[in-house]
Amino acid sequence: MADARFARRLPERPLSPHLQIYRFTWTMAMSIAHRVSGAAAYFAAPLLVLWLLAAAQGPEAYATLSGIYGSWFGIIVLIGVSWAVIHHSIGGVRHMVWDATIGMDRRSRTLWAQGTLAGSVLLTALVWLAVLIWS
Amino acid sequence: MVVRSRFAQVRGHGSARSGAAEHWRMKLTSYALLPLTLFLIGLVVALAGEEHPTIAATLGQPYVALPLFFFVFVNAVHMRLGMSEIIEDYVHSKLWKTAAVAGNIFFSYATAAAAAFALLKLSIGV
Amino acid sequence: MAEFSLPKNSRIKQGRTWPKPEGAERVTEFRVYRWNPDDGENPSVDTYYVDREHCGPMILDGLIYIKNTIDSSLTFRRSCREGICGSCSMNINGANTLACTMGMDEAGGDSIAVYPLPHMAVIKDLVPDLSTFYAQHALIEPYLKTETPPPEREWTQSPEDREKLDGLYECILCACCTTSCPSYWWNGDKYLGPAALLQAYRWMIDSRDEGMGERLDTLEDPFRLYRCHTIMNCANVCPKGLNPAKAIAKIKNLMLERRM
Ligand code: HEM
Ligand code: SF4
Ligand code: SF4
Ligand code: FES
Repeated sequence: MADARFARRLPERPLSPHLQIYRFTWTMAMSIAHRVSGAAAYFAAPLLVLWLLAAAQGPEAYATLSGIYGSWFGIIVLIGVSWAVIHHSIGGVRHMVWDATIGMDRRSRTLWAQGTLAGSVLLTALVWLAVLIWS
Repeated sequence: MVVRSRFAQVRGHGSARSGAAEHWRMKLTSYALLPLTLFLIGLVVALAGEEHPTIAATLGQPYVALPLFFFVFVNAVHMRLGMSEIIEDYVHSKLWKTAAVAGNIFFSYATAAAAAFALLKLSIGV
Repeated sequence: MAEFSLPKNSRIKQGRTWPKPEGAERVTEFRVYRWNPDDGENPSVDTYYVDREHCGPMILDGLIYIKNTIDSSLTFRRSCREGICGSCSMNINGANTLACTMGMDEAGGDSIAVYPLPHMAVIKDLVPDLSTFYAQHALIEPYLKTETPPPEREWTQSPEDREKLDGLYECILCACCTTSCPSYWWNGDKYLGPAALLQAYRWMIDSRDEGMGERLDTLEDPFRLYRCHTIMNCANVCPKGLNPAKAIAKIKNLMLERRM
């Protein structure tokens, strides 16, 4: 199996196209989304820490932080973060189910992938509706 | 120029005999995070728009602070393991990989420590 | 870093369009990846028109038509033309499959894009270098491993135990699954890929095999096994309808079972 190509000095073989040509599938899209949302939650973790620290610090610090989080920019970021965490959590359930080798046939796996997206959008909307009603 | 058989390449350094423990921890932390994340989201929604005294008092309650503590620690392990998967997938150069792995451990546990400090101050501090 | 774009020598250039067959009434357009190791050029995509009145119904028939009547330099693997040898695997309209079992009409539309299996070193045109893929198959030792002295006649197996191999033994090693797997794209030198892992599982659960422990040892590695993130591209494309993702999940569960 030694590579005779090196001895013959043939041109470097090209790499066949991959991402460039691969067709969209729901399972692949939701796998990427799980990763992106997990990473987003990762980098958003300091937002939770800052909230806790500000609350621990005292009323002035908390008022300053509330001002930032409650600004239109803050709200947009928070909506994004909440969507990421919710999407990732539902994606986590999907992973648990698949780890148990349930729901892996063609129909179910696509349904689970689509359900993850639909569920996360719905739940995020509900959460923010609750925030609107509550406060 | 390195000429090696494909089989030698595929065998590489042999099996590291590890990975199952990480997979198990990933599973455990995922199970634990499910209710804890639900709790966290519920808490944030309930406290949205409240003034500081209410917030500080609520976060200081044991039945709030304890689950939050638990969330913070389980989450630190989970996010470290998860990010190291991403690093192993994409970062191949030795130097960058070492830096990324070190940065990941620091970031994950430093955020957890800061959160824990805040929670301690809120519940038993002055 | 894993490279998400194609290296310089692999970028695809505009190719040539070959004339339509004369007098053809019903034609299907084929856009086919070409690379010639002898001319020093980058790969290109050539366009051909297949005369459907003088050609069989399958994509492979179309490729054979092109080779026979338009451009004899077009290179691809094929043998059985009935989905059993696994030679003619390629990427058709963005998904890996066997050219001989996919109909031109099934592919949909008037134009069919044909590329080699993704993220592989190309030997020529639609022929990728599969030697790493085969070495990975060799690594999992795809044969019975026993310590017990061989019986007088054959190793026997109950019908129930034989049934457990259904959905596993049918693999024809076409590499459609392995080369559809993004984890394999980024770490194909260390990750064994779905085809090898499906076969690893097939031998682990064979009631006659005595090597489960060593087989698990070989696989317990952050890269060899645990690069699988259940993306399911493998199961989506397997032309034999097998589910490597499920077999891999079962291997992961066996790993956990033995430490509990
Ligand atoms: C309900 C809560 C959660 C559940 C059930 C959950 C579940 C999971 C699971 C099962 C994986 C493994 C995916 C795989 O095998 O490829 C994962 C990956 C990950 N999680 Fe979570 N997770 C949760 C919350 C979080 C949070 C709050 C963060 C960040 C602060 C986070 C960060 C990550 C990261 C960075 C990854 C790696 C992504 C990847 O490998 O593609 N997770 N999560
Ligand atoms: S599992 Fe299916 S796709 Fe993969 S090599 Fe075997 S037959 Fe081909
Ligand atoms: S399920 Fe695993 S093996 Fe299959 S495509 Fe996904 S990562 Fe690859
Ligand atoms: S030619 Fe044998 S599988 Fe297609």
